[in-house]
Amino acid sequence: MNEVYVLLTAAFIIVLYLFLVRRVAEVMQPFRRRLAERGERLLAEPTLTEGDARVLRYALDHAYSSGMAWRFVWVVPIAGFLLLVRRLRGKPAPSGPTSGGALRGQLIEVTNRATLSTLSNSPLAALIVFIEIVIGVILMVPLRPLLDEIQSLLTHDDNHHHHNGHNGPAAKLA
Amino acid sequence: MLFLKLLFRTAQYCIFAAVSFLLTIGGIIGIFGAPQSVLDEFKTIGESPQASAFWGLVGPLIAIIWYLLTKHPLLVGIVWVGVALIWYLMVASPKEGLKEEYDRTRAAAREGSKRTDK
Repeated sequence: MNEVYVLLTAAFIIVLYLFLVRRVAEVMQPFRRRLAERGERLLAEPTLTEGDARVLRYALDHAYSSGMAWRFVWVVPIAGFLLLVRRLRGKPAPSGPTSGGALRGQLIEVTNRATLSTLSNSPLAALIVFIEIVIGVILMVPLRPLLDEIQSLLTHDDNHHHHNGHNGPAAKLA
Repeated sequence: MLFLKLLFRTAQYCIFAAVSFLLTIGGIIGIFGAPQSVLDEFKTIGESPQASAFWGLVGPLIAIIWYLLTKHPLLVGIVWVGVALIWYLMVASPKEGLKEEYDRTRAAAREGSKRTDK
């Protein structure tokens, strides 16, 4: 009999989750309508670069995609790791939209809204992404001094090589 | 011997889950006609290897887990079909309406922007 209770509890939890998914979809609808209006207005801007337009169109097309929400679950840790590697090698983080002026701020805001809209398709995926970000932040706090040390060593090493490249034996002979 | 028994059981429940899944989809189409989201899902299954793998794995996986938890094949079938139906009625079908509204808003905004440009 216990097994039946386990089964029914599992089914109840799933149905409850489905109810949550539906409620979130209803609550998000006005937000998504505004996103559609703002996104399309931005796409009509003549100064918008082709690359930014492509990203924005993709984000607007996937506002209702649960698959895309689950893709965030593995993209976020990989992107975080790649950003960390870039930082350690002394390279700046990617700059985001290439369109300039007031458009840039609007693009960042609309893209963030589109990301939120996509994540809301799957509250479970959103929760996992949130936990991943929290774990990333918690890990970064004690690791920061160590990372700064590694970064300074790497950049010092690069400068040293660079320095030797210009003032090495060949340069001295010349 | 134990391995063969396990393999046989797994195959049995994979077939069971696949049949329940197809029956559910058949039931949905039978009751509600052929909704676009269901047709789209089948189109995706045909076009995308990831979607095929996902649907091919999820159904049997749920059935196996529930079998291991409960060992009640009939209940597993009923619950699986029930949850699939609730998913369709509570999530997939209303979401289709919301997505259509979103697409209409996008199209209207696009037209509005074109008129402003002219």
